[in-house]
Amino acid sequence: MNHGANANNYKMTVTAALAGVLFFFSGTAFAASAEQENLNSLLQSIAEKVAEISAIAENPDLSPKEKELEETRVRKEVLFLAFDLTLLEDEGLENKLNSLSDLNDDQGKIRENLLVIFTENENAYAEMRKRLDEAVTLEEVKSLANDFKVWRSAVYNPKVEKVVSFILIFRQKQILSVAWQRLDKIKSDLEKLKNAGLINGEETDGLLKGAMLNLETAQELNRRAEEALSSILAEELDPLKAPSTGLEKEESPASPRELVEQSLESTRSAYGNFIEIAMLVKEKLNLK
Amino acid sequence: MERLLTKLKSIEPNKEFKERSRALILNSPQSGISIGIFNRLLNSAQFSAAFSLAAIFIFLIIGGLSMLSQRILSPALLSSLDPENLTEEAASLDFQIQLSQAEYYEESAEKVEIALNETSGELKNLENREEELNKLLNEITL
Repeated sequence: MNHGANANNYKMTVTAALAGVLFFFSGTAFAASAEQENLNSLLQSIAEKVAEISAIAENPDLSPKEKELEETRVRKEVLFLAFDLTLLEDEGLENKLNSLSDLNDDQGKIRENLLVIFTENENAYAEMRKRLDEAVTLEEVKSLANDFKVWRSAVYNPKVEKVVSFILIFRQKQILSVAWQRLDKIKSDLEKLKNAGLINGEETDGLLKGAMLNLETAQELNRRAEEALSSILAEELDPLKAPSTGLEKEESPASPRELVEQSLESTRSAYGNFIEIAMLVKEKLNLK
Repeated sequence: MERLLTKLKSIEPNKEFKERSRALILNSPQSGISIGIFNRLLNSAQFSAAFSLAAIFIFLIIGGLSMLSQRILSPALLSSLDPENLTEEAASLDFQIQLSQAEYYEESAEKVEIALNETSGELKNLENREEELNKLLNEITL
């Protein structure tokens, strides 16, 4: 009786956890899709304006002076749009970081360090925005475009990479949690089928072991990704006190992003094992 | 002898004895036709109950295995081992990773760099200007 109640509780917990995670993800997905649409739309506007620059230069009906005026106007518009896009990306990433819940102490510290990035960006935005508003000549606009490009490459893009990696690492942890629960449920159901003499387990045991190994690998890669990101952030904050992770011994250690992508690949392989097990069981039980 | 018999004939029970005896008879359980029907009904009920019990036992013995299988192959269990459900679950988890926009930020960084290169006039100095511009301008047709 007690065992039955425990089994029911387990089923309810697994179902609720799966539903909860999927609900969380679907909510995030909805918000992300609207934000993504705005970002894509801005990126498209930038591309259209860049096409205009080429068109002005090739327009035989315009005098050199007219071309310069038109080019200055359009180039400035490109810069405004690139600015808006950068701010929107910044805002979206900050919101995503703030919306992460159930972080442990270490993860909380990483998030705090990453959130500082957005405060640092504000100064750069203020200065460049002032220059953009004041820019009149073609050379001023071109010079600002170059400075903005250099700032994005040297400062902004690496920061974005870290924030995106952290969000990926954290989401991958949630995905792993769902995958482990699925593995436990499948293991328990296979045991029941074996006890009832409906399957002998010889074929499924190997696949189950494979799934477990894949999830263990995914877990380890995720741990390494988090460690690598912590190490990078620690080094940035204080290069002398950066913890040694052993990663520096490698010629080109995998980036947190690469590690989390490999982790995802292992999780995907585990689901491949789950599906193979399910198809085998279906065949053994002659289910349609 | 004849006189004795005549005397015995005239003997009657007293009034108190008659009332006590009548009360005793009237309070004693009745027997006869009604008791027979009751017994038959009772017997019939007992037989039905025994038959029902036997039927239940037979049902349990014959249907037991089937019910056990049904319990083991319950929808809850099959859903955890249903290839379609698992494929959907894997797809939805993978989908979330795509939604993380990791790819977007990579592409955006590249395209904005091309746009700023063109805006600053740097792109015209590059040999692969057309190729670079096409990467960005493909955005318009997407």
